[in-house]
Amino acid sequence: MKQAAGAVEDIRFVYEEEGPTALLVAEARLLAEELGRASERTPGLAGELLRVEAGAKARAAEVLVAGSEIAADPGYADPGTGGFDLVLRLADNRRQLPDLLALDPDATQEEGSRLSVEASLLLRCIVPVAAAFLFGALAYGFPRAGRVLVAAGFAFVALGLTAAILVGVVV
Amino acid sequence: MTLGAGGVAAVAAALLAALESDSGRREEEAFVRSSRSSVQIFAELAGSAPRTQFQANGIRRALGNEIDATARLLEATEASPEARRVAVALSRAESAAAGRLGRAVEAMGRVPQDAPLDPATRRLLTASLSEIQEVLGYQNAQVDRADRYGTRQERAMFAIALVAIAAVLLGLADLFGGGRSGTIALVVAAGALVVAVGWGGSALLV
Repeated sequence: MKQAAGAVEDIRFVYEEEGPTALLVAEARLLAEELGRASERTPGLAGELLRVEAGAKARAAEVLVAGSEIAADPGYADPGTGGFDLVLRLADNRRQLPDLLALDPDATQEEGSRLSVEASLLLRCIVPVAAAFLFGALAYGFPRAGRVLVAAGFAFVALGLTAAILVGVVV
Repeated sequence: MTLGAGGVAAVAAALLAALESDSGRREEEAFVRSSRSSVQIFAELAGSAPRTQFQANGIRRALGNEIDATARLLEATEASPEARRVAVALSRAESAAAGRLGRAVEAMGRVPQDAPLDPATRRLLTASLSEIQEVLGYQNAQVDRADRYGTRQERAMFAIALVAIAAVLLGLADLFGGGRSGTIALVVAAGALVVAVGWGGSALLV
């Protein structure tokens, strides 16, 4: 839950807070560029009006840059489209909290499952021990086969102990 | 005879205890996986929405600018030549900028394969409806699994209770000796033991 909450918040912040502001900067800059080109090929008053408009958009872009960490950092600029690399920004934001990034809930769950399996297997090791008790009881009821039954009982006790040790070592 | 039956009861109790413990463990594990799936579904829905919303808003804005430029062009047809010259140049520039803005928005909303994102964040950012539905299907399967193992555990617990009753009756049978009372106690104990083993065994069929 911690890992998911951290990631969701970082995604929200980049795409709902920082991204739209950066997009406003991109929009103003792109418009300033196109208006500037248009003013160069338009003579007279029309051309001058376009030049003023281009200048206004460029100024607006400068003001907006002050409020956008993404737009102010050349590392996030995408010269090909005039936009910005939001995914890189997200990756950088995520790296600011390395402990949160290092969380691995799958590994924790796997470890829990392993310990749970070990506990379950250890409990199964009492079955041979219970069988040893059965053989002991049968030895009391059948004295003629007493030696064999007692020996079998001890064998099952040893089996149970060995199984328990193996579970502790292997699992 | 009672000692032998006691031994059988001990073995039965051990087996049923192992079954009960194992079923309880598996039920708990299934509940944990189901809970984690719930969190995963929420996280994927919450994590994928901002990016698609950003793209939608950006493209909407670019389209709006394009519409403004076209509207100005149409309106300028009835204007003076000088005004029309300004309007046409302005509209063309705005239209070109709107097209570039649309392409910039698309690029900003993309998640490249080689982006330096950790796998968990990438998964949330790019989650699709089909992937979320897969997680939902997995969650439902885990709930069913928890239900199944919960039923197994309950049956094993009931069987253990019967074994405990059988053990008590065996003790009474030993106390009463070979008389009528002792025989009745022994028979009932044997019956309880058989039912316990049968009921516990039926848990494996769930």
